[in-house]
Amino acid sequence: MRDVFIIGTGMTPFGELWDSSLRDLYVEAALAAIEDAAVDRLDSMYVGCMTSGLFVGQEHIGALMADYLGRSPIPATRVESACASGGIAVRQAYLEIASGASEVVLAGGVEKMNDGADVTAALSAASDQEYEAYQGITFPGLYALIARAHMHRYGTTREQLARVAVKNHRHGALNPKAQFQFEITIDQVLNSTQVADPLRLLDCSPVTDGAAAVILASAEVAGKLKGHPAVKITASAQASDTFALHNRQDLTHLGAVQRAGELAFVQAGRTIEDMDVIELHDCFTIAELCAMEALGIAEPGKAAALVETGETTLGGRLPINTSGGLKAKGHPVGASGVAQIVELTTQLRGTAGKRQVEGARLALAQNMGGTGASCTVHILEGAA
Amino acid sequence: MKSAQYIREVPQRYRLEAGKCTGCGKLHFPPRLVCDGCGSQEFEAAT
Repeated sequence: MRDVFIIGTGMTPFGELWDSSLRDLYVEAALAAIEDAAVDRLDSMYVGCMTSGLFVGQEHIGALMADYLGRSPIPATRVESACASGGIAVRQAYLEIASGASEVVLAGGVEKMNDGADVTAALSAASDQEYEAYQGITFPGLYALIARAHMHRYGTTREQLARVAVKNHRHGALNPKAQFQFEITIDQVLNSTQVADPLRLLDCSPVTDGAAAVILASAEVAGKLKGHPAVKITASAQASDTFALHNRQDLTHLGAVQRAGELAFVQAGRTIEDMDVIELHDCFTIAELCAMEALGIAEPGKAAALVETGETTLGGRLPINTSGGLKAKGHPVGASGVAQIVELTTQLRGTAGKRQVEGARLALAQNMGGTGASCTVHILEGAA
Repeated sequence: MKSAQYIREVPQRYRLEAGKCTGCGKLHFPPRLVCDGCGSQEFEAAT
């Protein structure tokens, strides 16, 4: 397998973008990434998107985006794995270059969620329609079950969950592309509208329009570019787990996250202790805690206490979700996995401005679909 | 059609507004962000 480098990144602002259509968003992010990479060549492209069909009635969006990007006739493939669509789009582009099949590949993710669709119903298509959604449960409900189990088993408190949202909003306040660029307090989280007990509105990632894109290239192409310091993808791993939550032995354990993490650490020859900055899939506050535990950032049941110490806040030993995470940056589901890679590349280039992690050289991104039935973990390394 | 989409597309649906590439002059209807003729991203409205 050949080495793969990130040579360009781009993203739209995240938020309620009523003036932009699905294709506008993808093309805007892709153009920004192409301009950033300063390469003209593009051998193929991927579009990570969860459910454009349910959100705006549009399918077949691989070819659509290639056409509107002015890149026909290159191969264009849409990738779907619920909220992990973006992470898997990046992984497919990575594999295409690593295998030697292509030299320069675009991996983008997009979701247009604000256009009048029933968002909760559309998102529930990522749960088991016959045995979960059928009973009326939604994603906040499923993650509420996980949160309840975590509280029961480990004594995790309501306030500890709130601290995750407070931390991510503190980071989001420093991100000019974030949907919510303001800080919140623990009291605000605790007093926000109840969504699915124990989760409240400010525990939940928002409904977001947006797109993100990265350009990946072989060492031969990346070596000729003079623009940015090289960022190398040293691991790209993926795993799956029981689809429905009721088939898990332990509701608090994200098996696919642990598995993808283990594979990634072997590929990169690194451990979790080596990481300088991490992006986790915090679709709900409890998800960040469970992902921390699955990746070995904290022992099972200890993630909440680690968040309380401030070690995962910017300025701490291991900042998590410097972008604001899904909670504050926003969660256009198919784009989120790609946006994580955009954030970490920015950190490794040392151009993250006010939210820069000083001396960041090793970074990890974890992106998952549904209640963790699919997951990708990428490890990136910047120049020494 | 969803109301947000409807409002976005008023210039095309009611004024038949096309995008004329300022690079190569190619007309695009509906308009695009990138000209598939020359790759330019500069357009002017044409009716």
